[in-house]
Amino acid sequence: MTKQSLLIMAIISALISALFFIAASLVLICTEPERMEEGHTQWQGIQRERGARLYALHCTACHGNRGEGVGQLGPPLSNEHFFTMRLHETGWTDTLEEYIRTTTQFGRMMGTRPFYAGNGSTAVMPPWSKKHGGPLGINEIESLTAFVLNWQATATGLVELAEVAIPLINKSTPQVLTKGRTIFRKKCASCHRFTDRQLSFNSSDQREKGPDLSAIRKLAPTRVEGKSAEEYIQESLLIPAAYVVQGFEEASHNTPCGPLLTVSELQTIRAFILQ
Amino acid sequence: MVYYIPTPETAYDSIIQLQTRVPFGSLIRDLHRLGGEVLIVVSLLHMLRIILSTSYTKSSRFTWVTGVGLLLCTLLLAFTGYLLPWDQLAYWAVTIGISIADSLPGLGTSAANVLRGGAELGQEGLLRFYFLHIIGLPLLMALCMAMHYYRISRYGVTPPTRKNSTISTSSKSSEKQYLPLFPHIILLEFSISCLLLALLMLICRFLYDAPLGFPADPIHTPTATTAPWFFLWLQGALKLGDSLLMGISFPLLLLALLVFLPYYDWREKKQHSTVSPLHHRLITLVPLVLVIAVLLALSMVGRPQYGFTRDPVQALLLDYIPEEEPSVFHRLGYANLTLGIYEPGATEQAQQSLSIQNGQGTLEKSLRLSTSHPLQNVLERCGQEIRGLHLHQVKPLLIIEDWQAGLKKVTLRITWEPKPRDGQQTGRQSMERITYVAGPARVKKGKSA
Repeated sequence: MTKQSLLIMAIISALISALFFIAASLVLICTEPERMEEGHTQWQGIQRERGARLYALHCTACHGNRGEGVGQLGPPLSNEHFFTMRLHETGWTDTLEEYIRTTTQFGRMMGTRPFYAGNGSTAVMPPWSKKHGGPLGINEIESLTAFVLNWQATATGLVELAEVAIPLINKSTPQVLTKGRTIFRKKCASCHRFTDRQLSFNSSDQREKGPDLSAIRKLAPTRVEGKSAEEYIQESLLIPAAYVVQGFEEASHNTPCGPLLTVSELQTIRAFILQ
Repeated sequence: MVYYIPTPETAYDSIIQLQTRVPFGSLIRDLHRLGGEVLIVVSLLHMLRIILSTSYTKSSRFTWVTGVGLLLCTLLLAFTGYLLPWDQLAYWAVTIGISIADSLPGLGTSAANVLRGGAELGQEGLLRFYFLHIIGLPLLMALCMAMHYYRISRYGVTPPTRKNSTISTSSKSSEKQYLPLFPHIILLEFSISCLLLALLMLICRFLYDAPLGFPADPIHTPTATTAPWFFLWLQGALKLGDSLLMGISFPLLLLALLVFLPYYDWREKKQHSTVSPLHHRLITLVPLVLVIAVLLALSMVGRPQYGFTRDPVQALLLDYIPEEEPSVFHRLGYANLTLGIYEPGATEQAQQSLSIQNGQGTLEKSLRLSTSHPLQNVLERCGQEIRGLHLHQVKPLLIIEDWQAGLKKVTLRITWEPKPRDGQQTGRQSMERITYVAGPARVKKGKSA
């Protein structure tokens, strides 16, 4: 094969390749709007998934497993009121999305509803962004915002969810209870004791700062009407002043239990107390 | 470069913006990623072809050396670019990569600190990698490329034909027949470029998505940190020996072998010029095949599954719902995740009784999955694998529930009776992993989204 014939072949192949390239480009140009839409929807989905994970990790202790709120501790985030009235209540002039984002980022120093934790005078929601001392990055705040906002569809009745009764994981295994005992000893025993279980860790200090928990298992389910034993214990751990036993008023207002515990520690201690 | 802002706070967001808001942004990112990886493959194949076809001669030995320089630049560009999305996968792979330099006696720690911009990868490190990726290494690569092309234009390349083809026979008068760089080689390269670029574009549009994990978190180390595939051999080598020997000496030895290959090979060719081309190259080929085999074996060792003992139950749960990658249920798709409580590996009757036991009469219908249902296949496979763990009185559960509009929660839970210790029963043990799968929301009839 001579150089000339090779040159002709090279020119023909260059022309065919260029045509193929132009055709491929045209396909891409025509399908790009569709791809962008797909990409955007897909990313929104990923945001919701990540937000759900973060919510389960950081927010359930105060706002409930599915945003239903926890007693007087944290307000509901998945009800209609939050999506229709909250902005008017606070006088917020921007969007609800911005409201959620800002509140999550900066936290809230003063409560707007005295009913909930903080009683209008102390910080009620901690700041969550890393910049302000929290554990979350900007992307994570965005994911959480997207997840909370997505409750709007169910809150306003646009979407109905099917219910599945979940068999709960057995939290009272020996491992959990042993761990609960260790945490109790470290973080709770300076104020509380179990006389019946002969658990008194603070033998040097005879003053009782918190009530004896010997009868708690029987007392907890009936202590507050409408609250299960688990709910009662959880709320008492997070807000010691929520339901005060007579004689312990002062100690309950000066003892921060909730901030000392992680969610997992809280659940473990709850299992230990109610065993 | 127009949309990317190299700071830890904004880098990840820039990539998201590029993929979701910028027209053709996703295409550019996918092309950039896939193109980079294909370039490594093509470079290696090109080098292999040159070795096998004895294309280098005394005059083109240095061309080979510049080619090795180009391969090195390509690998370093891929490595520095790997960090820029600032996701977990990239952050930890690069952290481990840089820590190899720490093991170098004397200047090692200082070199690693210069590269990282401090004791830990952060703002400074990201900026340095960005600089290397967009200015430093491209300049070096341009230099190598200029030298490579100069040598080709000066000494020519071997024509893409066999020795017994017409071009060789028709020009017996001259010992060597070269094609001129312009227009022949340029036109040929233009054709191949157009063809490959068009193919890559179509693959990126319809088949490939550049990976992007969770945003980088310096506090949380993922359970399985893996190097990019082209450095898996190095990760494997590091698992087998210390960083100085396997992380630095071994790659340097490989590089030296590669650089001096044509010099050694050329002498062989001269001495055995009467022997057939394959025979006189055996001395080169055998070690080459050995090196390739070793690199492949090391890459296998480098995979996160190798040499990493995990609790078997946890390992199984992580196989189905990994920490960073999409889970089996994501691959299955939102629509195929029929709501309900399932026992993987159980018969249809067992599934049904399970639903009644849990008071889920309404879900009974959904639990009767047909044998061809994709979820049924996953349940069967999962059940088999759980049985393979040989746990006593094991009871696996898969729970799929509606969590939000367009969001399902999937819980995979395994409970079992552990063997008694010192004659004492320890009670049932339980482990679970949870994931969320997003999809389109089912809007009630008569209402619009």
